[in-house]
Amino acid sequence: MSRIRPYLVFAAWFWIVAALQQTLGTRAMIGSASPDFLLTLGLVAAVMYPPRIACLLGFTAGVLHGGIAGADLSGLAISRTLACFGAGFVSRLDLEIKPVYVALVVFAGTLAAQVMMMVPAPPPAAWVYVRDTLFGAMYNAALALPVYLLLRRSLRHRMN
Amino acid sequence: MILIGLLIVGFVLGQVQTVARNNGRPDFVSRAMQAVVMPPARVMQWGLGVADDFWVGVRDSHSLRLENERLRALADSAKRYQENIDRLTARLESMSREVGYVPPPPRTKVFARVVGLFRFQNRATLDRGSESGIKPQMPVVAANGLFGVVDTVSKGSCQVLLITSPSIRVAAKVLSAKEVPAIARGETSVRLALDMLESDEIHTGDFVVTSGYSTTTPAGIPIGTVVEARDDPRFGTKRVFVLPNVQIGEVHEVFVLK
Repeated sequence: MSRIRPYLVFAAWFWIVAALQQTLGTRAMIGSASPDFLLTLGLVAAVMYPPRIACLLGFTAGVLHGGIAGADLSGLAISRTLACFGAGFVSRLDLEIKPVYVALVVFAGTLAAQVMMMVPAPPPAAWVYVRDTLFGAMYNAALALPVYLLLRRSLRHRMN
Repeated sequence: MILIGLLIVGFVLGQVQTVARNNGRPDFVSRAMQAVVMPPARVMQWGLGVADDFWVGVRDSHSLRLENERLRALADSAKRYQENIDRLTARLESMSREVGYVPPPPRTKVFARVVGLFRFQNRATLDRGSESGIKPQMPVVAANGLFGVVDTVSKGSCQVLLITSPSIRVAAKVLSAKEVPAIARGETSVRLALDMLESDEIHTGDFVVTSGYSTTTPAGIPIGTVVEARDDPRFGTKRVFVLPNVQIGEVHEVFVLK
């Protein structure tokens, strides 16, 4: 049971967060900053696990987001997989993970994922996209703190 | 190895999605994801709607009462106006019969709720699909104007490409001193750009509506207002930008024009 518990916990988390993304994605906008709940969850979880698991979490976040939004599945799946793969290396560092580190990783990971999305199909007004991405990354970083604390609690994960 | 495998699977899923989308339907991954996520999302949507209505009711009770009285007065005058319209319509029909004119069949409106909105992807999900007769390319209209165009349709829901999407082109016309035809396309999440051959007569504040030159979108649906019209020395034309009438984030209910 303890072996499959993390999988069940993540399945539940992704299910709820995907519904939140669908419902609150635009309602929760602050100015032009819109939250990406799925990417935030993927990156926060990636920090806790090695890269091979982290990329699986990123892939799940990307495919879920692409599926519910009907948006570019390749772009979302690949960018999220790579961003979370990168975030997974944090777990290999010999340091005590603090919420503020997680927020920084989510900020950087969001920027990286969104820039990867932009490269193959640059939007017409790139500066607006970059500005919105920057604000979105800050929003996700702020969300990362409660998500990290809740996720750690639900996984009964001890980082030390 | 896992990473490379996932990247390949991601790429393949994208190709499958493109093929399905070209056929006007969602791919199997999107269908599965929406089937799983839609039930809790609908419950959350309903809960948020109830909470919104409650707090708006509490906060605005006084102004709502005044608004209610004003609307009742408006409804009375609308009733009188409708009688006038009915009389004129009957006269128009009898004149049409006299000259043998057969008008095109009127479009029917399908009411739908926005159950998902994705600003970055310029997409929205509606709670009506092929069961309600919705097909790809049908225009979607909100209270203030054109909201988007149906992209893919499944049984009980459909995906809409928003008017701000760079992927759609809408046959439009600018109502300036004369009507100037143009193609409207999304530029950013908050403004559109117009492609046009003649642009000398365009000024800030001009209204933009659908032209009806497209077979799918009828004429006269408001699109937006010209907010910037500047010379483009590279091509010797004007660059015209439009602020959409519809505030995308505020829209919760729409009509699909069949």
